[in-house]
Amino acid sequence: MTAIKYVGKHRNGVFIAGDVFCDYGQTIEAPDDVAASLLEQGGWESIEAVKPPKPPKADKADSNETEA
Amino acid sequence: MSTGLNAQIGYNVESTPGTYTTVDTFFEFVPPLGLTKTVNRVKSNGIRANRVMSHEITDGPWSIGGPVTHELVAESTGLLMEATIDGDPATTGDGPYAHVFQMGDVNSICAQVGLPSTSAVHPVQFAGMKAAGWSLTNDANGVHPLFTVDWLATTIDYDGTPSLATASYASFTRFVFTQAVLSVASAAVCMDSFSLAGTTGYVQEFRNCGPVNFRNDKPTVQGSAVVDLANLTQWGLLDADTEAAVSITYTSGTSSLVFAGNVAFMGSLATVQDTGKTKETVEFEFTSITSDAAAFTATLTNADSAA
Repeated sequence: MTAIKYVGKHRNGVFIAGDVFCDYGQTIEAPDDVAASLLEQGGWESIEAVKPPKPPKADKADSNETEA
Repeated sequence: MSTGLNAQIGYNVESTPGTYTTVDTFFEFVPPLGLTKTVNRVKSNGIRANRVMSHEITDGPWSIGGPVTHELVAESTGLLMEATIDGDPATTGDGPYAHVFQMGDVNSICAQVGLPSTSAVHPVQFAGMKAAGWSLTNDANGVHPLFTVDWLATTIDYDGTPSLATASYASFTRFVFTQAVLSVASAAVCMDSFSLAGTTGYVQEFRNCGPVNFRNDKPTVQGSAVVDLANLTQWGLLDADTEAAVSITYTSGTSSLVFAGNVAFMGSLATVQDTGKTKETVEFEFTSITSDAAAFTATLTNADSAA
């Protein structure tokens, strides 16, 4: 699935895949092939998936001090 | 298995006329969907001794195009207006948006048709399309006004590339017959039916390099409406060669479509047809000595930020 946001000229939104409504400025998840086709048409933006923050790495200097 | 229920049509304005651009504007269509290629197959006239059957049939001139009909809606229709009336409309407003079309050159359009078969829905691309003519018809029984464009295309491609585009449809605001207001000489007229028909002046010529579209004549817009004969005022305008303002307006919420201009009346004095009410067909053609804009202007107001 790909997250895509509608930013096209139809300010009252569009229907895709038959009956899935997407309002102007709304982000939806669509199957990859559907999203690719819509992105190619224009009026849509790909939304990067937000990745969870990585846990902080252990500080090397701190670990040395602990060893000493 | 795919059937007509799986068919689709999308359009786009070609950035380079004649070159297919990914379609981005989809409409519902009312069948039949007439875009096609027709090849005139030609038999050799040569005579070969001791042969009686045809011995050579080859491709002659071909044509690409055909009519496509859509129910009239507010959104997306700007593309059809750009194809039939004015390729460079002026847009104002901030939702709703007003797009004003005054007779000018029309855009080159491409289309992709999803043609259903028992195995798949096949993408068929038409490029270099110019509208030869258009019509808008509406009556009490039909309810939904029908906008038909007669397309002239120059190329067709069906090799499977590009693939069939995902159809996305605007949230359409539909117009219906009871929303139509016909005004003749500033007076609203109750009507049974009406039609508008326009030409763009474009024709297609077949040459050794294939079909070529070019503007061969002035664009025209004509109309007619069937109304009850109320008096002889309308006939008087025609008989006195008096021009008048005519407009046809559809309004649905904040959306509207207005065809307006100055007309010369055509036709003849109403006749008694049967035992019922006497009907008059008001026929007219848009014209103006002042300007093209005064002759005919279409104004589409909808939720689209661009036509």
